[in-house]
Amino acid sequence: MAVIAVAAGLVVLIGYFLPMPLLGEVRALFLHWAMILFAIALIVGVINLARVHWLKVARRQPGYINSLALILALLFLVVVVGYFGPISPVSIWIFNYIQVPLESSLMALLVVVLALGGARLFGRHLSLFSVIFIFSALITLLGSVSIIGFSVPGLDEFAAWLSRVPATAGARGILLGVALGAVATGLRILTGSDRPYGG
Amino acid sequence: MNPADLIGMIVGFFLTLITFSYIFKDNVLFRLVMHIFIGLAAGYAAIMAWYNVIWPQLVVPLVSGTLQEYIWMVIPLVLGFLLMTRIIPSIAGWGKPTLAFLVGIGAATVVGGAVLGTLLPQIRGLINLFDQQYLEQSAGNYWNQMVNSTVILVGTITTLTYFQFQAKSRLGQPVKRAAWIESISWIGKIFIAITLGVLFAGVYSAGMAAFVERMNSLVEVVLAFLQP
Amino acid sequence: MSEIRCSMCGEPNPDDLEFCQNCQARLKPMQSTFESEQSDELLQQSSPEIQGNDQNDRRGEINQELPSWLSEVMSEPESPVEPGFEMPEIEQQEPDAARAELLDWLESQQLDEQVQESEEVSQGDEGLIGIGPLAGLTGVLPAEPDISHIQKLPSQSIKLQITEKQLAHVETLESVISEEGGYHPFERKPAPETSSVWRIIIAVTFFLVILASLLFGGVEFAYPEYSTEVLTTSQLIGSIPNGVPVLVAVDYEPALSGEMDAILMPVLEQLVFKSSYLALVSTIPTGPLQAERLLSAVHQEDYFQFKVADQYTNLGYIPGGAMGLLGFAQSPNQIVPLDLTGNYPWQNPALQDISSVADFALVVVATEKPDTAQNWIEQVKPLLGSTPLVMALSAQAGPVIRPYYESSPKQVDGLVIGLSDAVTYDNMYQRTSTATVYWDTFSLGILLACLLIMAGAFISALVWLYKGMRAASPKGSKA
Repeated sequence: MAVIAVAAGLVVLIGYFLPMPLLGEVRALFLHWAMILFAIALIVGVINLARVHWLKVARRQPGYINSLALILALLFLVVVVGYFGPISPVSIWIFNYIQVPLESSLMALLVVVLALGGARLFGRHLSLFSVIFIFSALITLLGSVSIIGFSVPGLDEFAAWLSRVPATAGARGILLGVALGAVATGLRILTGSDRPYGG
Repeated sequence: MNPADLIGMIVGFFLTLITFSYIFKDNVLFRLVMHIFIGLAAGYAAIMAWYNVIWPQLVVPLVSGTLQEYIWMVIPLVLGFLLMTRIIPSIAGWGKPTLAFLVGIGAATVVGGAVLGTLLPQIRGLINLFDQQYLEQSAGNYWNQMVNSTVILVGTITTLTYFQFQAKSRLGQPVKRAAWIESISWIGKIFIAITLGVLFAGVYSAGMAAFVERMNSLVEVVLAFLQP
Repeated sequence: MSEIRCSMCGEPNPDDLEFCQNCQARLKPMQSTFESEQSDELLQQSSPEIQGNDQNDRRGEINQELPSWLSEVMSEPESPVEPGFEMPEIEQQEPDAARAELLDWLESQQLDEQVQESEEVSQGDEGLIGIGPLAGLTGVLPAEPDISHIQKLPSQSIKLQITEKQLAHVETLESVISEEGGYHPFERKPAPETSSVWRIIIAVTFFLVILASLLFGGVEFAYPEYSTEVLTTSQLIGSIPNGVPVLVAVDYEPALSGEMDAILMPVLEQLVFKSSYLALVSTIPTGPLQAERLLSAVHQEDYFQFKVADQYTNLGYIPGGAMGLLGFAQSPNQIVPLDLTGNYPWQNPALQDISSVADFALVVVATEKPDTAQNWIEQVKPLLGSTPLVMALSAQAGPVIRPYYESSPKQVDGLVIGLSDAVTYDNMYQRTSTATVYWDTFSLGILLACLLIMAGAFISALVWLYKGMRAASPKGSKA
């Protein structure tokens, strides 16, 4: 298995640095296959999800009604959207009036939860860094709004500077750290040291 | 307004209220609605995967494509069937070659993208912050930009240092990093706190936009029924 | 003259000689003068049975049991018994003198309790054994060859040598073992009723304030000033020729529809106004649906004279994340051969010259996730060449992607972040969209949140100070 992973990975990786025509064609073919297999993996995941919940229904485990609702919703969508098409008016109706309201409402809950979390932060953990955290958040939020006829001088400029300079510096450091970690992890897989696929 | 949209607005109205009820307490209706949502999302993902990828790119070439297309698509077909054995626990091991193929390509993509897309350009960008041409052409004052560039450089290096966790263990003492690394990473912590604060503000803004949009949709439904 | 028989070769030698005439082996064992005097005295004091015939009898009995070479040494009646050489009695009870000699002999053979430095056993030129049970014997074959003479051994402590590091590991292991299986009292979590009360209060406050603002209006908030990012983006889009193909990636989840629709709409409207041919694509399954929603909303705008339906193609979903993007960037017509309607889009005159993403005049990516934006930057941007990349981002992704925009050379050529930039964009073209409609209510909600967070932080800080003062006071410390 490691041979497959390393060989396929090396073909793709070398293509980043050496633009050879034949290698490029093999690389494009591998990427195409990977895309198709990813789509198959998606379907495998959905089938597994249905199987897990079906077992829950079959064994009448607690909450099996919810699992039954999940399976019915899945089947309904597969049948309806599969028949009418993914961008048919029916599909768009389901998307507009069921998926969007549900997901948007879940996102909207953050308003309450984050406000409560921010208000209680100092009660749980008061330190220099929590003060800096809340201060930065408040400056950025207040800098983005201004009541007509009432403005704090310099607040907008300071908020813009905060997001452009120190926040960018921190974000850049985080990005570089994440990239270094990704390279290390990827190279471990490409050298066969790490085998998350088993074997 | 056509009847389908009206029914849809009513459905959306009640779904929004049920989801908002979670603020007060986790309840049966909320959990039921969430399971329905997961089923719909999973079903749509499966449909798009089949409709947009597997059917036109795998099945059609195998059934009605040229010989070359047929030959090239046999391999993903076989690998795909092996991958599907993951559903059955007794033969789940047959899917390992496919997983190895995907993992190898994924790892290479990540490494290549990280090196060429982030590491090298961002380091080059850090160096170019002190480029004379860049400083002179910047919107602000030359020295203002120099100060900003210095702050960005210091912030980037100290943030990176914060994530270095090599330490020595000494007899009878807690494991800790060298004093000079601790002091540099302390400064990095400040930059990370500022970055996370700005991120928190961004997440909150996104949540507030969703909240306003949802409240607006609730108001529209109520007004649609109240107004003649 | 009495004779003494050599123990090595057996030849008789005169008694007064020390070394054998035949083989030069020592005839008499080496002995200290003190011992020899003591042994003489003891011998003289010994019972007569030991001496003379009894002595001979005893010797005869011994000779029967001892090895021949040893018995020969002791067989001569005339030869004086050398106490240091006498073999201990095995069966017969020795007289006191002999016993005393034996004890002396044994005592001389006792080793110290500690490891002693062993002297090199050298038989010298004479082959005499100096120590051990064969002391005094000459010509004896050494138990070990000369090459393995016992060397002086370094004195070593019998204590176990442990390094500091090993001791630290031992302590760690002991602490882990001691904690394992120990009784850990269950920590009671704080009662949830208090937090749910505050959660309900805050939720009701938000509901009422936002509802009032939507229904009745109220506080007016100033539109944000033009940001350089929005100006740059608008100029970039304005600089592309009319009617050229533009790749638009609608990569945000339905959860962020409220914000992202408002951000992407002005960008799309400007593109449609320039008669750009839009190729819509997405790396998430619901992205194509989002794109259809958006374009139907644009199509409903009265001031658009163009039929949007003829100006776009929905290429659909690209699975695989970064892998799929890399493949698409290299050869989009191979990765996405058909669009969502089942047609072959690459025969369209607007797209027939497209062989890679660099052939598009502009690439616009709308997403709320920093990871998705990073994938586009890392996998697609290097292959774009001179084609600009514009990003319409949610406020939660903006700070993470800004380094790519601020870098030199830029990896992102245009940036529109959050609702504030969307309002700025609308104002530039003096248009009213959902962003401007929501702006006052949105700003009021943000202000309310800031007030709540500041109030909560202030109260929490006061409580913390109070607790600290109470703990520091004498009464508090006693309690």
